[in-house]
Amino acid sequence: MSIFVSAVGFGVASGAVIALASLGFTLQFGLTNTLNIAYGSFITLAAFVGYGFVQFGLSPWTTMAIVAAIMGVLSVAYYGGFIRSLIRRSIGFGPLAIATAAALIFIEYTIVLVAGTTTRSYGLTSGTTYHLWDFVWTSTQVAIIVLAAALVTMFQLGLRTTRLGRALRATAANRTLARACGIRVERVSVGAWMISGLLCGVAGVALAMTTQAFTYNLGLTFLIVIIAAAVVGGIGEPLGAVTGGLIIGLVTQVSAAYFNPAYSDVAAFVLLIAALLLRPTGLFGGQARRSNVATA
Amino acid sequence: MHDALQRGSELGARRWPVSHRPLRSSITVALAGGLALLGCGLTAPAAGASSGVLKIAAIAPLSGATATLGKIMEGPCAGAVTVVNKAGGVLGHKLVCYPVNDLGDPADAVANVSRALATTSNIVGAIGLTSATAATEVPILNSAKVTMVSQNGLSEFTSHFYPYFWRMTPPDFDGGAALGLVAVHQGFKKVAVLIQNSTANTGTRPGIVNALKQHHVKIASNLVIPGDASSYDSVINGIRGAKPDGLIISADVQTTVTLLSEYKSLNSGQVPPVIVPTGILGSSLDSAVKKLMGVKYMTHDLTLVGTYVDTSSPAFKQYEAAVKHTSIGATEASAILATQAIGTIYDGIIVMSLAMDAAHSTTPAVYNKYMAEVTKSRKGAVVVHTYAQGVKALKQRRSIQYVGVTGPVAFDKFHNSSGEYASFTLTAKDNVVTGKIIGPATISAITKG
Repeated sequence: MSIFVSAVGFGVASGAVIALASLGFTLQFGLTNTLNIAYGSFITLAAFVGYGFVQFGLSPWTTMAIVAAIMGVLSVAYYGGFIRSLIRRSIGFGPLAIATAAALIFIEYTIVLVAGTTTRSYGLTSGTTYHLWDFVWTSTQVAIIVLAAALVTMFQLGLRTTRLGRALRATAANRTLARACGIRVERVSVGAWMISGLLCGVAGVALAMTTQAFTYNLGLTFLIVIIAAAVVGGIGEPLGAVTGGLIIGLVTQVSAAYFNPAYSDVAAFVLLIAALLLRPTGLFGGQARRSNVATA
Repeated sequence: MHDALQRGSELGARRWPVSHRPLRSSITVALAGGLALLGCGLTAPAAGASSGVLKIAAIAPLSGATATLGKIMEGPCAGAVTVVNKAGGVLGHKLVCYPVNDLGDPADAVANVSRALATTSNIVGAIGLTSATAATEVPILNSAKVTMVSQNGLSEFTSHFYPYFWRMTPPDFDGGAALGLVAVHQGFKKVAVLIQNSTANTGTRPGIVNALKQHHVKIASNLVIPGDASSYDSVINGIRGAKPDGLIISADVQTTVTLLSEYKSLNSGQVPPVIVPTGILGSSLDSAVKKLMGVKYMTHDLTLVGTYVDTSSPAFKQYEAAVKHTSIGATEASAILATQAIGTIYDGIIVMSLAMDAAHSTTPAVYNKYMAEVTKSRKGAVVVHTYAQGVKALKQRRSIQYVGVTGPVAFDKFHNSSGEYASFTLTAKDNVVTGKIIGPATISAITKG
């Protein structure tokens, strides 16, 4: 029982970071129907930009806030200057995804050009370790869990109570109808990419803090987990992405505790396949669609 | 190339009139040419050079996740050709390094190495061919009859059927045995072994386990883990429960540092001493460990294990000077010299060059058998430590034994030569201090056991 509870605790800590990243990823997909493979390189970029600020002497939490803002702006620039241009040329879903994969390679190798291939570390200690029942969390992990919970809650509340949130939901449900109703869907899309960039920035710095060491392929390794979480939860569904992130985190850690850890990622992907076979739209796919219909 | 394409595009845009007769002729010529080329491709041409600059293909990952390794390998190659050229070159020919990027990926390696062989003349030898890519590269080079000195550590090349394959890098099994033996020497009674799930690292696992078992050291955990994961909390939680008094980690820097820092977090700041391979030293392991674990842990509890070379030998002195005089930066130079196994690249090129001199031929099919001749220890052979000394002795028609950066070379019937291992520690200023030296006989006892 002790091992299981500990593993669940570790899973929640891992899942919190995955959930943040997955939420940003799924938002881009939901609003602009873009499978943005380059999201992985934005995670890496956030970690490296954060590294620069930490080296400059800023605290990791201040760094996280600054990096989130920077990544928000970069995300909008990426959408406006690249993704939107391709969408306007009526490029299909598949070619658009391939174009984002090309962007991923371009961004990663630009990072290599600037920062090299050596391993970087923020060099931060994880702080105090808390033992609660059989849960073992460091203060950094606790802070990230709390931060993730707060951001996800704010996001969910924002979706339901703010004008932008309602516009986001309406645009995600039916872009043409939303435009006909007077919603400026392009502005809403820009807003969505801004929010996803913010979340990407937070997730990138949080990931660099938890792994303690990273190289230029940090985001690429993590991207597969992010996509898995989004698909398990129902791609394009914010609540699904968060739930998917937590599930992937839990399965990975629990399987590592009981079975050969070399196959912990395999366990997560077996779950992904099972979820798709049993529920092709993901855990929240059907539910969210119904709610969107109601909104529209 | 780009200009040519652009010009072609402009011509097309002008819609120049095209006569069908020349077009048919062109097609016929092109088909004939294509068939001729296809015919040439049916048998791999033997490599060699009768005139001009001689090229040593430096086959390594120059981009991608393991590009650091490729970067480190450039220095010894550049250093060796400089030394050879300063001594007048090989049989009057200038030697150059010809980089071939295999991206550290076996599939990419096939395309890139094949392309290099097909499009480049005067490739008379090859170095590099690391563990990640050797399995696909060695057969290609062997078919093309190119003598190669591989830096791979794969155990499957301990016995093989590739006459053009030579190796002075011990197999990963030996590296694993050395890691285990250092744990024994440090008096560990209960060790946790963590191996990253990659070709190079999993190859060390049997050697580690054999060494620990033969010396009755208890193995608390023996786990293969995925590399570069975002968290190893559950793995660490399981290991710390077994209370090991030492860790052996064979993984990349990111994985190693994440494991150590999570161990520290979960175990109230207490981390047992750790033994890691020297291969990861050139990738900021020292700075990351210093930052996260503290200077005391880095200098007292971190032991690195790798191949040993005598840094006071004449060959090493010349190697050091040659590497430092290349165009690479000072940081890279110190990383190269610290990564002593990389010295086999330098030695490999010197041995190939001396073999060409001894054979009076730059054709690999001719000089290949002289690789063992110029390194063999025998009565009456002049021991030489530099290329210039070797050439001088050969001109005097004397037999030579090259003793290089990595010490004496004794190729077995499969063209493998294993060396000595040693443990190393780091000082607060990141200098490397040599500890216990482990001879080939001790390693061999583990291999045979």
